[in-house]
Amino acid sequence: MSKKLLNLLLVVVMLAVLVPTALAAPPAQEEGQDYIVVADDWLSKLADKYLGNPYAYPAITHYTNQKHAEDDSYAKITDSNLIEVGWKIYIPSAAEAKAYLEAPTVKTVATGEDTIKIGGVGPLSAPGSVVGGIAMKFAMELAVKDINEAGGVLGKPVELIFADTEGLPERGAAIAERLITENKVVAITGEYHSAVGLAELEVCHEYGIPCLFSETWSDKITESGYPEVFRIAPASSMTSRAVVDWLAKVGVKRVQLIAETTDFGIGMAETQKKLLEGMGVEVLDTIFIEMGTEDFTAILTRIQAIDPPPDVVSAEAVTGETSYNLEQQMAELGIAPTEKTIGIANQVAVQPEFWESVPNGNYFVFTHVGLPPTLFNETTNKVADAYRAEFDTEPPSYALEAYDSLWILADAIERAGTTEPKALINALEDTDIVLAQGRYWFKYTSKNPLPTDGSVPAYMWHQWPDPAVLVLQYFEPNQPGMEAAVVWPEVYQTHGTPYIVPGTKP
Amino acid sequence: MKHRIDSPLTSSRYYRWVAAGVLIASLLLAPIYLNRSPYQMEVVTGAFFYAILASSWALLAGVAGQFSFAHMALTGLGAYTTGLLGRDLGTSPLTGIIAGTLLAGLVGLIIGLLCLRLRAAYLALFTIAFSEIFRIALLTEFQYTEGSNGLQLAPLYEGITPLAEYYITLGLLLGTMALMYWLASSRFGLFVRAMREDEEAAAAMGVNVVRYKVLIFVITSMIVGLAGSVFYHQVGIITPNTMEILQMSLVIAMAVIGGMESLLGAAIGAFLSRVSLELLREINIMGVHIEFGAWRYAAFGLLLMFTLRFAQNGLLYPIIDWLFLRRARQEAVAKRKQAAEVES
Repeated sequence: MSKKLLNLLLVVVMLAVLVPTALAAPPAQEEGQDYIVVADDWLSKLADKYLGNPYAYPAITHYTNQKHAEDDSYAKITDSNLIEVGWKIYIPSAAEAKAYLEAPTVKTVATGEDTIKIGGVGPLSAPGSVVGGIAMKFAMELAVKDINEAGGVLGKPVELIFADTEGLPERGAAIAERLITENKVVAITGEYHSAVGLAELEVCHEYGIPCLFSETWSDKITESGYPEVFRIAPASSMTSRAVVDWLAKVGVKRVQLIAETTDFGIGMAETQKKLLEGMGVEVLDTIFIEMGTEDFTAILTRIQAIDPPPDVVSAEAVTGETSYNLEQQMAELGIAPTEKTIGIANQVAVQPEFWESVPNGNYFVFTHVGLPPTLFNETTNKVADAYRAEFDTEPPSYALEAYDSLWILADAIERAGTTEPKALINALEDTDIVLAQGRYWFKYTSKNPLPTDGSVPAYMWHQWPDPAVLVLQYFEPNQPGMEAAVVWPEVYQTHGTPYIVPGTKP
Repeated sequence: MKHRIDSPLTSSRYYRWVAAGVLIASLLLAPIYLNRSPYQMEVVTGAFFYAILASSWALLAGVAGQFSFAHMALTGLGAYTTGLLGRDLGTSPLTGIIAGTLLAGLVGLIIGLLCLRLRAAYLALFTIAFSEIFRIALLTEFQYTEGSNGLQLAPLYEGITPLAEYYITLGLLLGTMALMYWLASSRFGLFVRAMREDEEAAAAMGVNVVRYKVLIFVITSMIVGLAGSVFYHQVGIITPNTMEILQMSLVIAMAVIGGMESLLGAAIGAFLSRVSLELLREINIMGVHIEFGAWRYAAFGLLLMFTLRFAQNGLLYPIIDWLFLRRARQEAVAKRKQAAEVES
């Protein structure tokens, strides 16, 4: 036999091996049929044989139980893993199975599972932010332990399947796909990177599985408007709005902004100017300064010359050491904070170094994301203790959020009485529970839709309205940043006042 | 007599074509299995993308001897070009992909003209700098690029299915592999290989060294620009994270493990690395559940060190060589011997 012929035969043999297995997926049956269970049958095997897809077995369970309701010669399948010889079951037609499986509600109802599986997502390897992922995973595992110690959910223990998204959207999407289709999780929660979250939410939407984001800030997450998507972290825009909303509440009329000439500074000044003017507040010409400037006398004299003095001088859009220099000179020259003028410092004012560089900085106002210990409740303290014991540092907001997200899901499943996705989404919308970060609830849901006139930003859909984006104010010299008074938003006020006039005590 | 000398060589070639045919056929038929698991389908599709990156890097570094770290950056350039065009000018993905490919080629041309007159180390340093600057620019200019929130890209077409994405990526892989093999085996391939071995000697023999270096750089840039713009339309979003040097190192490691001097070795190396990195996320052996987390990357690093020390030709290339090329070589030697005997 010539070599050519031999090789040709080899190919034929290989294809002969490949093609039949490839074609082994039989043409799915056109009409449904009754079937009597024989030894060694199990549902996924039957689904594979008759429907061409082993994952279609829930369709057999569903239709058999439907038939059972009308005619009890059909068996009732309570656990898809357990069928007995001699049972009469109904194997649906391919079309029926398809119709059933494509209703997104059923894909993951894991009948007979002995745990309730929840998928956790977050970065555990680079280029993702590993620190964030580890903290979130720790907090979620802690929550699972606590939930199970409290008796689990629907009488079953909760099981967390945490998957590493590596900070890459393509991995996040693949992982979400795996959690839903292979691990059969009833919901997904977590995520640190917005971009990855945006890829994951498309997968959740495709399968109709609820997805509770605990630490992704991009407005676009909840702007998606998908029924499956919920978020308990602040949307980015909520953080830039905090000070503006507070100023509106305090009732200021004229504001002087100072900003650094970087993307951050210019961007922030522009956003705030737009928001303030939208509220009818007059914004004086923004003063831009170079990073690293040490002597601000020239520009501060210009502000001093403004008559009448502005209600607010804000150095919020100046960062780092430069902001300390500017703030100290503002205070020293008696420009702000004074009885007449509110002084706003950059968020780094929360650091202990603030008092070294700005000894005259009493009564400065600054923003902070995350709860100060003065607002910790029993749950927060418990989580914080566990977190400190493990990492020897204060729990960041994303750890608290991750802990809470598991509880929110557990609470919703318990109230829904099922893990069926639509019922679960419905229950999530009715969430009202106090956890480590305070009281969670969702304002804009299918029961209270976003107004169509655009008066409420689209990112408020399924968004927790009260994430701790705080405005704080010092009222004693050398006060630790975390002990400053919370003046805004109202739900978090520690001293019952939106503003402490310099020279007074709350 | 002559006929008998020629035929074994032809048959070994034939054998190689058959192997390639079987490989391609099994890739074409694979979705019949993969269809049952959308997750596996997605992983394999992603692995094709890495195979394109690694094999084109192998063409540049292994065949032409030009060490570049700009591969991921050029991939991202392609993707961001089509993404931004689509968002701001409303162009179709196809137009965007063409623009992305061309722009990647143009940037490749500029980099090539700037540094390919210099020797390898400078290209490596320059491309590291370029990648980092590009990534940081994307992060900083977040008003236009969405920064770390990621730039969203429209799907290639409405209602695209994972199956279609699989075949599109596979087609792209096969197409670019065919192009690269054709290049490597042409006169052009001979010139760049000569250049890799000894630049002076090649130049002395009349090879316009700089022109060929620039040309190969432009071609590989366009290949990755194309791959990036198509792939990220499928993912739907791209972030500057993709362009981290670490990701680039991963592609290089994949190519080295597979066999840097072999395009097929690099492609298979990347494919297997990607799939096994995914499989190694967690394993269940006899009821014991092990989660590898980031450790699987450490194991990957060990494998790379092992390869560099003990198997410089890569781990897969020797197998390919043993399976297919050894025969051809032996036959060629036999033929030469026979010819010598006939002459004497």
